[in-house]
Amino acid sequence: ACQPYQTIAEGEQRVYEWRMVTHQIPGTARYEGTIREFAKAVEEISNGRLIIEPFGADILFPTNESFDMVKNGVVEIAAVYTGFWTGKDPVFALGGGTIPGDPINGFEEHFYRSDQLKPIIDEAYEKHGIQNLGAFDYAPEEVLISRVPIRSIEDFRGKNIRAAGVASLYYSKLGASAISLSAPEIYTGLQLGTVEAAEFNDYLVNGEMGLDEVTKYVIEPALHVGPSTDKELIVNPNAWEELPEDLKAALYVARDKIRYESAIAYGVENQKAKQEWMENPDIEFIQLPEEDVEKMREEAFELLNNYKTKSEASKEYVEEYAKVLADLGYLEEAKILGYED
Amino acid sequence: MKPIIKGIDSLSSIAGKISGYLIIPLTLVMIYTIIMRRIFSNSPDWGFEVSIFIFGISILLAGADVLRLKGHVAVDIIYAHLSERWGRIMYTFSLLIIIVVCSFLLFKGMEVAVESTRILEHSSHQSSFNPQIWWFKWFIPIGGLLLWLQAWAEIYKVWREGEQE
Amino acid sequence: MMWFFEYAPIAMFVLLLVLLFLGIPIAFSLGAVGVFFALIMWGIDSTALLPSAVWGVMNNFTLIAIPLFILMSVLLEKTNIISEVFDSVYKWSGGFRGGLAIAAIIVGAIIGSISGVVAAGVIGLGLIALPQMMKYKYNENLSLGSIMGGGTLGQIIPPNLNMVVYGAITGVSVSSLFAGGLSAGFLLIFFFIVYILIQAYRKKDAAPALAKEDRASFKEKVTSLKSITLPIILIIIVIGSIFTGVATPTEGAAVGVLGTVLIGFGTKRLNWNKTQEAIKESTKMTGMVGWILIGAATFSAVFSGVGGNQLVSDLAQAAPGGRWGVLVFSLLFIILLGMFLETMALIMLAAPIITPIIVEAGFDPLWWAVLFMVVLQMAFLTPPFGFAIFYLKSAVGDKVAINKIYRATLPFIAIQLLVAITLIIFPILAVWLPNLLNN
Ligand code: NA
Ligand code: NA
Repeated sequence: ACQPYQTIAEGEQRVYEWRMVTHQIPGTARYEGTIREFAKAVEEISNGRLIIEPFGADILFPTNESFDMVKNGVVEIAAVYTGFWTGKDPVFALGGGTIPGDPINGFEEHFYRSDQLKPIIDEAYEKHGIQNLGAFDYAPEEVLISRVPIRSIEDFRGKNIRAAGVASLYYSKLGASAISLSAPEIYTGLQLGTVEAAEFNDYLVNGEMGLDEVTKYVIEPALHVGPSTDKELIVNPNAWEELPEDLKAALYVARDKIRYESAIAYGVENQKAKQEWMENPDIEFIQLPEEDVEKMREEAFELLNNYKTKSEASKEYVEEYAKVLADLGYLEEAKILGYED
Repeated sequence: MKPIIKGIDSLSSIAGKISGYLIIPLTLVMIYTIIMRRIFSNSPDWGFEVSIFIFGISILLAGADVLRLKGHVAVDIIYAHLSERWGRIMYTFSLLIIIVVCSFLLFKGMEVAVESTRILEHSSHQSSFNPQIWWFKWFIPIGGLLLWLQAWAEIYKVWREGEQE
Repeated sequence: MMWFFEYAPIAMFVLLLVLLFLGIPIAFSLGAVGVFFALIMWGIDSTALLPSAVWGVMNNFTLIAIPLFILMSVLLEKTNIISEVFDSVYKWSGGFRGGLAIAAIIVGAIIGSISGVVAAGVIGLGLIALPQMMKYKYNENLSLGSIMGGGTLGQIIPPNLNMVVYGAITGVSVSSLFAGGLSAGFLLIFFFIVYILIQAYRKKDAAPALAKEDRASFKEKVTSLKSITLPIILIIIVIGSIFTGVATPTEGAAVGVLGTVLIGFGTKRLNWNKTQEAIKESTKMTGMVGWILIGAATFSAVFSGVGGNQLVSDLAQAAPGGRWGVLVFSLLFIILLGMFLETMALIMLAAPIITPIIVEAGFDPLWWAVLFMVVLQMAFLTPPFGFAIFYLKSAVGDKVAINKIYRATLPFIAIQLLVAITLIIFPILAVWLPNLLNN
């Protein structure tokens, strides 16, 4: 119930009401465990002075419109995967840490990278008039599932693979046909042979969608993406400027809480889910030969090196990423990307 | 006034024709994609986005001609109970509503298209095709403008030609 | 002014109904209410929701099936196949009481399974089957009802546009939904036929059998079967390509267009002139549907933004009876909306609000989707805005008064409700075919 009259002194207890959008669907772990928890945390930390009302995928507008809608203030805040706005600047294809050939492991390395690369992404957003608050929640590495055995780099040639985003570029590069099936069609697509293989998400989420029922092979490692950020937080700059400093801080604190909790929840739950997949007698895990993995990583990094020519920001991003790899001890990989000590 | 109305009518009609015949390339693109995928395992990377372009353009271009042909479904039970004069007034009100909606579509759509053109926006579907899509966004204000014009033409017809539902 | 904000979702619906009653086209009633409320609630910048709704429709790959399925069904009309199919079915069934009405149901199902457009079914039967039933002095109520019951079967039997839109919005697999629709469609056909037989045998003159001399000979019956082969081939091509995974549901629509063209030209039933006419007619329908989707997307964006989804969700949770209360509330909500809205707009509005509530209550999303489609078929018949009623009226002109058509819908609405209840009690009847397909 709204109060009809302002009874509290001006400027002292103003309540800010924000609308928040995301690409995740209400009812799923990736929504309930992060978006709702975030809104709750912000309300608690701010003593009810910042109220965030969340909206699930496509409820207010199509997800890939979130960028423009945050920009023009239709909503104040969004937690969305950056890959939805690669059309605005190629750097956003990589912005969530969705990097083909990525050798890094686990959430600690991932969030280290996110924070190191944040200034570049900040600037890319700023150019479009959007305030970036950085990585929100953790997404473990994805998997490649298949109906047919893929045992070497040659086996990718001529396969129909459901893939989206950078992954579709990557699998095309390996000679496969990347097919755009929407998420709900993946199950039947694999079942009926519309596609032979598919990337979608990690073991946990794929399992929730029942994809294990139509999987015969898991191809490891899946080089199209490593650990990444499921969503990044972006804010309308006017809304941001209006906030008192303590509420700005509250948003960062709540963000970090979600980072931590999602890292535990998804990192560990995904491990448990993987165990179940491995114990499934109908699923064979195929380990690609070491030399093929090497070749595939080179192909991936070639794709990545190409990004250097796509925009100023993506050039900076790849270069800075190479430094991060070196920091983390992946010196060989860093050098392929042009890192020099 | 007459030639202007005729002009608007034929503009809508041409847009409607383009919209209609686009279904032929749409069908062919989809069939080609299926064949290339099933038989040659080599589906074109442009199949997905080209189909989307054709469909989107077709919907946006069709709106005005559908209005000209009185094809936008309405629940017109009220007209049976109205005098001819009130029928005209109601139909005019209907068209004014369309004009208001299309004004927003025109101006807001233009803003969106201009911004998209400024950054030479590319597709966000991220296929390896990765086409520019700023030109596709222009069909939003274009579709709005065509409908806006046609609605005015219809108002003219209601009062000057005695044409009425 | 505060009260206004509290009640904005309800005010939106009230204004929408007013505009609809005033005869404003559905697409623009929806769009205007959306834009108007965005403007007064959030200011001019938020009207950017309108172009964004357009952009969403323009970029939805699944929706591409719409122009293709519409064209396919208009092309089919041009081939005259439909009237020949009716001819054949009625030669076989004319000797029984209720035979013509049963023929209307079966032909409705056949039209429905080769096209995704309900208008085609109702108008087609109204033009072809109704005169026959009139001629043989069928009860008018039963005749009109069977035409609307049979003609709307295209809404539940695949392929159909509403399932495509539902899948695109809620993320339910369209292929699975098609399979579920086929299972539920069988059930409806069965119930319709049982009802017709009961009526025909209870009252001697309700639906008399053809006179002996009017009945077809066995030889005539067999030769007439020839006309069924073409539609059967088409059904196999379209549904087959989807259910075997050769094509996605969207691509299946393109396969259907090509199949119809090849068969039509191959048998000289189509030529370039007729094809051009078909393109022209189907463009008009596609444009109409496309703009309704745009209007509905705008309306529902603003409706959820002002708290409409939350309101509906709260009401559902407050319903007594736990999860079953939620289910009953949701069904009533759709039935209520169905009295006023066109089905495509209804899906755009209701599916994103209701589906998460139902899933959260622990019901199977696919089963719910099928149930949703059955209830949606009712929306074609329920007063005051039942589109099957309007389609039929447009086909029969002044020969039948509209209040008679309204009255004829009642038993068929009741049967549809009965089928919905059956699906709730025996969920397997909705999902056995999709389960079979996926195993
Ligand atoms: Na159908
Ligand atoms: Na209705």
